[in-house]
Amino acid sequence: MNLTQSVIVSAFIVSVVWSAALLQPQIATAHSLEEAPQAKLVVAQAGGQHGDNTQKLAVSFNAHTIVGNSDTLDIADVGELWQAFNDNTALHARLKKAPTRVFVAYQYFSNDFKRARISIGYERKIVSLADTGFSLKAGMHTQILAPAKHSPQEIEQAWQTLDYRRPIEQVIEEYQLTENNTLIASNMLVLYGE
Amino acid sequence: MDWLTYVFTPDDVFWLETFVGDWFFVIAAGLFVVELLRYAFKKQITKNLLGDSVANFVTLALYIAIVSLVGLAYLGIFFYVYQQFRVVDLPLTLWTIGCCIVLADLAYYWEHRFLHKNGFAWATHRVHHSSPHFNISVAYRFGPLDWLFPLFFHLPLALLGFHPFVILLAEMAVQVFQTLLHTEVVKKLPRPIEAIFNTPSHHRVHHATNSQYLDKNYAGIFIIWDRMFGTFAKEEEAVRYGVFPRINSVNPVKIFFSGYAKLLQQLINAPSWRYRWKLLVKPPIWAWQQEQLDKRRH
Repeated sequence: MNLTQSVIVSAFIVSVVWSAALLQPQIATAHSLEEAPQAKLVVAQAGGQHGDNTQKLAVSFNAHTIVGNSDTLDIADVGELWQAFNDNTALHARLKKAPTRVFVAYQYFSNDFKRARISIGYERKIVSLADTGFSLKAGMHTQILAPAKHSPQEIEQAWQTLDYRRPIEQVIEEYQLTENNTLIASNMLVLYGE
Repeated sequence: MDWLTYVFTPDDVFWLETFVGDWFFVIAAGLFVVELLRYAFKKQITKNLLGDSVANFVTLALYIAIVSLVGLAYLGIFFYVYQQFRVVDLPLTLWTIGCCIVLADLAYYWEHRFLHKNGFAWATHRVHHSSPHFNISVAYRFGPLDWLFPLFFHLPLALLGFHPFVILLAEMAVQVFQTLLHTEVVKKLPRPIEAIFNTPSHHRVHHATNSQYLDKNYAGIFIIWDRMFGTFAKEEEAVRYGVFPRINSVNPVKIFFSGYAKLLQQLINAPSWRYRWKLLVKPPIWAWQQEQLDKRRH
């Protein structure tokens, strides 16, 4: 075989072996989360929505650090951030195991609650080579939705029950997954300020 | 088969590379003691053999000293290319590592072939071939730029999505495998092994100065590359080791720089810039042929 033929054959071998590396069985990476929530906040106008006055459960939420995607954007556009999170192959390649929880945190709301700092991610402990990540505040949260399989409409309606007369420091949506990346339950918590 | 797709962290991979590299040196030292005992038993221990072996390990120390200066930059280039330009993300699994070892071995074949076919590259690789002996200490006989050329042949692996630590581990696997081949203790292995893998017999041919063995058997782990690309030769007669002209020294510093010292002398004495360029890019045999032609003219 002459040099040119050898180089061509080498290129073919590289493509075959590389394809084998690409086609290896993947662990569940939650790339395409079923029923990706499209939580849309119906804008709470000043003096408008006053929240649901029914008694809500107080839940202690420990400090968490999540690793994923974060941006300040209109809450109505959270679907874009979900897409970016699902497309974050670098993150999903660093997962140490199939994730069982995905967190969505809404912080630093604008005065009209139209915008917020939104972070979507996995717990830092299951991501290797993780950067600093995004901190979720600890504290006694009010449970808006108990863990159960909620539809996107139910999650949307739950936002309307928040008491916007009170300062809102953080809203957490927690999604629980099976190892096969199926959504099995979600719950929603809110941390009111003082 | 889950163990093939268990995801490691980059720290795990780096730890494994360091662990294997460090402990393998201990194993190699032990095997060298066995070889020395064999030499002693056969009454073949000479001052030259012992001096050559000590020189080999001194060149290793000199090589490590250079790598300690350039290593961070070397790794930095891999990480830069990986982070900025990789086309896919490959998970850190045994499956990926296995594929990378195969590709790193193919890359090594081409790098090694280049080292024998380019004057500037041969000047560093020549040091490794310059020993008149063949034992495990020769595996650690390094030249001053041996760290440089793997960069160009292995960087494409980072583009393909292999993590730099995985590439480092694969390169180390290819090198560690070859260390064991530098011996005359093992004659021939079973035919299926000789057919697929590089072996001490194949590597003795590579180090030979017998004319039919020149520029043959470039393989690292798999001899199939040489068989495929027409650079294979089977060991059929006794092998003579070394390079022309012979170094005739056990001074490690002289050995370490001998290749570039010779190249520099040739460049200084070259009759033209075109000749100088050819000294750098053409195979080393070209320079030898020019010298023979020059002798005949005079």
